[in-house]
Amino acid sequence: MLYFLLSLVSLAALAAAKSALDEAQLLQGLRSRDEAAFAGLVRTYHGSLVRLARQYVASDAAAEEVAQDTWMALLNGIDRFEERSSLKTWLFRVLINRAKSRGVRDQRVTAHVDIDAMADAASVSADQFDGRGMWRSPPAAWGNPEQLLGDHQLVALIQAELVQLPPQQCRVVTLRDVEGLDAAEVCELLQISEENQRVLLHRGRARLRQAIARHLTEGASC
Amino acid sequence: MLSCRDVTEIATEFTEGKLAFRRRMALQLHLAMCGGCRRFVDQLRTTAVLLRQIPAPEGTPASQQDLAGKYANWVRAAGGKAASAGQQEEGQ
Repeated sequence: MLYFLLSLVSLAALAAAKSALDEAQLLQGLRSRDEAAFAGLVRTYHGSLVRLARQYVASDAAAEEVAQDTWMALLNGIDRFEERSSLKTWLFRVLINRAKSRGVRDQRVTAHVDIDAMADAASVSADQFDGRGMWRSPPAAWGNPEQLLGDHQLVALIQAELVQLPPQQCRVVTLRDVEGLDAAEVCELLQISEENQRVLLHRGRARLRQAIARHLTEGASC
Repeated sequence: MLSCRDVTEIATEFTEGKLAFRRRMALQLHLAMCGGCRRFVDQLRTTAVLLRQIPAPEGTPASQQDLAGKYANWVRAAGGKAASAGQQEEGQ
């Protein structure tokens, strides 16, 4: 199991290196006004931008608009754009700023985002432990990872559960696990401390783990 | 001595490599003896891997058309700007 996960991680690293190479080419293309380069970048990132924007604004239409504004910001700044950060993080940063001010206008961003680190305090519900804090009912096995990864229904379930998380947890989990950014990038983008980032990530993953467990054990009893 | 409940609270600190030495040793020791907690930590990792499988939403034809239009406008405007900047330099 561990070996399998490690091999997935190295595959991800390989993919990241390849995409960095592609990205430099596409940026170069954009500077020389190559339309195919723009289309390539949009194909790669537009979906991610809309998805993230949607976590700040109240409608799909508003999210689409914010994502399009972000592309215009890239085009208008392309000759000054320096590749100090990855393009993806740059796009996310601009998007979040725009989505936030848009969200404030639409009154979607409210005070509760700051306290959702404290929300739903236990990673595993208390009744799974005995008085000394030992497992009363230890987690059940999930079956082999290859099978889980091929289970489209399961991925759809996780997707649905993800957007049910408190907003700030949802953002951290989306950026870290779905988009694959590292902890430092996420802290910078969301302007939160490293510890806060870790707590939000833990709460989010723990809650999703529980949803997966529920789904898999229900499936087994059918 | 760490309880299983403690382990479920610090598992991400552990996988992120942020646990201090003593605490990390205590956790390793607990994991060596506790199959339930090993499974919990493993399942948190698997959760992260499964999240990576979620595809980005597809752009709609309308959005593609919008962006293509904006791009064309930009090329026109940016091309014009570059040309006038060149003229200014020539004039100096």
